[in-house]
Amino acid sequence: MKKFILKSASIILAISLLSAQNYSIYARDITTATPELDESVFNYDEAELNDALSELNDLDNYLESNTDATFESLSEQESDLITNIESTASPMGMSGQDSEPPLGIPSFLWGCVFGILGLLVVYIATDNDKEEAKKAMWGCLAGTAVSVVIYVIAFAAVESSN
Amino acid sequence: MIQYINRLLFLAFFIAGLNSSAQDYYRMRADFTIKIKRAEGQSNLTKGTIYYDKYAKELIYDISFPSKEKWVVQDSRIYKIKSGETYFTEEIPSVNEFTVFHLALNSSLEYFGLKEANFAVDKVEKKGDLVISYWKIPMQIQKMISNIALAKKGNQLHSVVIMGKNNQIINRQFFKDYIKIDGFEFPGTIVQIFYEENQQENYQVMEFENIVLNDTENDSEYHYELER
Repeated sequence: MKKFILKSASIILAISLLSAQNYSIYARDITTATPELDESVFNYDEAELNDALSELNDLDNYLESNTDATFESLSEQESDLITNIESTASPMGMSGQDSEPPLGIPSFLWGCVFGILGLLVVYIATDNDKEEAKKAMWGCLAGTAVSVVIYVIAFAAVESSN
Repeated sequence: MIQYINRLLFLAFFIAGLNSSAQDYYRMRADFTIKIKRAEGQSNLTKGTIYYDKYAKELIYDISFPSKEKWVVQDSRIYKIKSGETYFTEEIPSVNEFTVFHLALNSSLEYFGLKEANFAVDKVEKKGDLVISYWKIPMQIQKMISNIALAKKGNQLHSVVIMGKNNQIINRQFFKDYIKIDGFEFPGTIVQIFYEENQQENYQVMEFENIVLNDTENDSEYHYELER
């Protein structure tokens, strides 16, 4: 049963990935009517695509002649080429994204606001994603540092008033 | 006697021809570039080299940009590795057999793998230079996908249209710039357009080059020994 469910999930993912499919169940009678598609659906507007990808093409051209460049090195150079470009890899395309932080709230904030508990939530919810956990840890440290500073200032204020 | 020898020679050439056309392509590597442009404006660029062996069924992405790392997909688990250390792993549906690499190595890309998966053709029509086939979808996945239409140009897969609820198009894929190496064919460019519910378009372009087939000299590149 588990195998059947996994196979079903596989084909849905695979088709959406581009990566096609092997579904071990024979096609059965269909209930959905077969559509009639216009020929234009099977083609796309090349100019529109190139326009949409122009920033990516510029970055790609730069990387062709600077093969050792990484996102980090471009970021250090404050390069315009990475404006609006994500820093994470996505070799499996749009379907193979990194896990989202819990509730869509940045992991740093989870750690910063909820401390160790936030760090734990991030680690569990992202299925042990160490990168996200690291962000939460930095948040946790930042939150702790801010708390210490506030405590020291408050303590100093109370002491001076006495 | 001469006629007999001629027949034997013909038979020998015929068998040799069969053998060469049925060469087993079992392993490939290719440099890839993946460009993603999301409807909301963010973009993503990933470059590197993929390694795939259809018998080992292990897919390795050796990524050079945005940062140097490896993604290894073994069976139903993915490992993301930086500087030799696995920083992320999770269970995923087994996808390696459904990738364009596996399909191409098995000469199954022509019908997007649907024919080999026993999907049935519902209707075929010719429009211009395209032969369009509509495929029946198993009941179990009709909630997600209502119809799939494939367009072939010549003997090559040209495009795939995937429809969701009410036959609304959710994904279009285009296979072009085919690279031909003897009997092996692989699309140099795959363009995908994903549609959101409001019909906004997300673009994804996958480009492949420098394809090497049946590389026997670099076995280690096709299998990543994970630290357990």
